Amino acid sequence: MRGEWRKKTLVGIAIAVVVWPVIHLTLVARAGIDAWELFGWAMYSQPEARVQVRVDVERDGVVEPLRAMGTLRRRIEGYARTRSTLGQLASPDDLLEAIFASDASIDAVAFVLRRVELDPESAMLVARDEQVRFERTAQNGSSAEGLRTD
Amino acid sequence: MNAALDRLLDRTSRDDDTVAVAKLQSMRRLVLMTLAFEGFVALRYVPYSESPGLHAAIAAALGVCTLLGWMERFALPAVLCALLLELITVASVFPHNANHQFLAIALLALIALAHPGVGPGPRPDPGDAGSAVASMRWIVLAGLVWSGVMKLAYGYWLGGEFLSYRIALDPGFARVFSPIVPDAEMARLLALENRIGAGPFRADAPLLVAVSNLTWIAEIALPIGLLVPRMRTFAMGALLALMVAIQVGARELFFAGLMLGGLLLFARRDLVRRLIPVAGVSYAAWLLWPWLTRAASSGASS
Repeated sequence: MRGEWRKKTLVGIAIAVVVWPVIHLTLVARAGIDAWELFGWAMYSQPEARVQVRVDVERDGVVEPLRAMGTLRRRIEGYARTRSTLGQLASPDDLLEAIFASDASIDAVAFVLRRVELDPESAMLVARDEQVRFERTAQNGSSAEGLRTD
Repeated sequence: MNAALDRLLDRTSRDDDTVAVAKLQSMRRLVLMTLAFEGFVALRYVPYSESPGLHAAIAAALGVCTLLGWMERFALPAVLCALLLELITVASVFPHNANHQFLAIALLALIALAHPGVGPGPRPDPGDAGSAVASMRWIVLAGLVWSGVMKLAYGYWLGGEFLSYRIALDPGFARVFSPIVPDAEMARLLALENRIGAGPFRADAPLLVAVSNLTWIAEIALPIGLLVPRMRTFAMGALLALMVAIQVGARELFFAGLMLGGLLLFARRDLVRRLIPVAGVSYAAWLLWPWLTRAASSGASS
C-alpha cells in the first residue's frame, strides 16, 4: 500500500457515487430535474421529462406570441431541452438577453412552460403549465430608457 | 478506521493480489475502449454533432488513450488523459450527458488511484488494486439497488404504467414484450397516442404487471445477494441475465458494457477479460450500424 490516503480516496469516491442518488431524489422533487439525467440511477423509472416552451412578448401593454426564426428559435429549443433536464435550475438569462436584444420595443417576456408528464394516479398524459414573466432590466441588455422593474 | 474500511471493502468479496491486479487491468481496458467507441458514436447525435471538430478530436484522443492504456507502461498517463477528456466532454455538453459518462469518470478515477506511477513495469499496487476493485463492486451493487428503489419511489412500475407507456410509444419495447402481452391489450396500447389526454397507460395483462414488479424487486434483492458469499455466484449470474434482458429493450450499449464489466468483478477469476472482445465487437457493430444497414438496404434494392 503506497499510502492510506489512496484507500481513503478510493472509498470516498465510491461513497460519493453511492450517496449521490439521495441528493438526486431531492433535486427531482424540489427543482424538477429530469429523473433520467445526472446520474441518479433513475433511468426508466418514469417517462422522460418533456418541457415545451412558448414565448410571449409584451409591447406597449399588448401581449403576443414571439415569432422566432433562425438562431433565436434554436435558442428557445435549446432552453426547452435544458429546462427539461435541469428544471428550475435552468437559467433563462442567455435566452432573455437574446430576446430583448432582438427587438428594442419588447418591454417584457413571458415564458409559458408546459411540462408533459404521465400522471401516476390516472396513468394519463397530462400537461402542467407554469408562466414566468420577465421585465426588461439593465441586466438583460436594454437601454436605460427602456428600464422597467418589478 | 483502516480496519473498518477494509471490512467494508471486503464485504463484496476479497480477491488475492494477482486476481485483483488482473481485474483492474481488464476494467481499465474495458472502460477506455468503451469511451473511445462512444466518442465516435456520439458524433451522430445532438449536442455532439453541433461541434463535430471538438468531439471528433476528443474521440480520436480517447482512441489513442485506449491503445496506450492497453500497455502497462503507459497505463497511468492514458487513464489520466482519458479522465481529463471525459471531464471536458461532460462539461462541454452539460447538462445533456449520458449517465454512463459519470460512471466512467468514477471508474477512471478509481483505476488511476490504483496505478502508482509511470515508467517501465509500474503494475498497479496489489493492495490499491484490491481496494479499487472493491470500490467498483460497491458502486455497481449500489447502483443496481438504487435503480430498483427509484422504480419503486416514482411509482410507475407497480401497475406496469412505465412499460405500458414505452410499449405504446417505442416499437422496440412493443416487439420485446409482445410475447407476454395479449393481442387485444397490445392493440389498445399501440392505439394510444403521444398527446395530452391520452391514456390510461396502465397494464391489464397480469404477466406484464408481474414482469414490471419483478424487475424492481430483482434490482433490489439480487444485489443484496452479492454480499452473501454463498449466493454470490447465483446473484451475479441472475443480474447478468437481467442486465442483458433489459438491454434488449433499452439498447444502452455503453452503459451495459460498463455495468456488465462491473458485475463480472464479483466473479472469483478475472472474467472481465473475456467480456472485452465481446464488448469490442458489439461496440464496433453499433458504430458501423448506419453503414451496415445502408449497405444491406442497397443490396436488397439492387
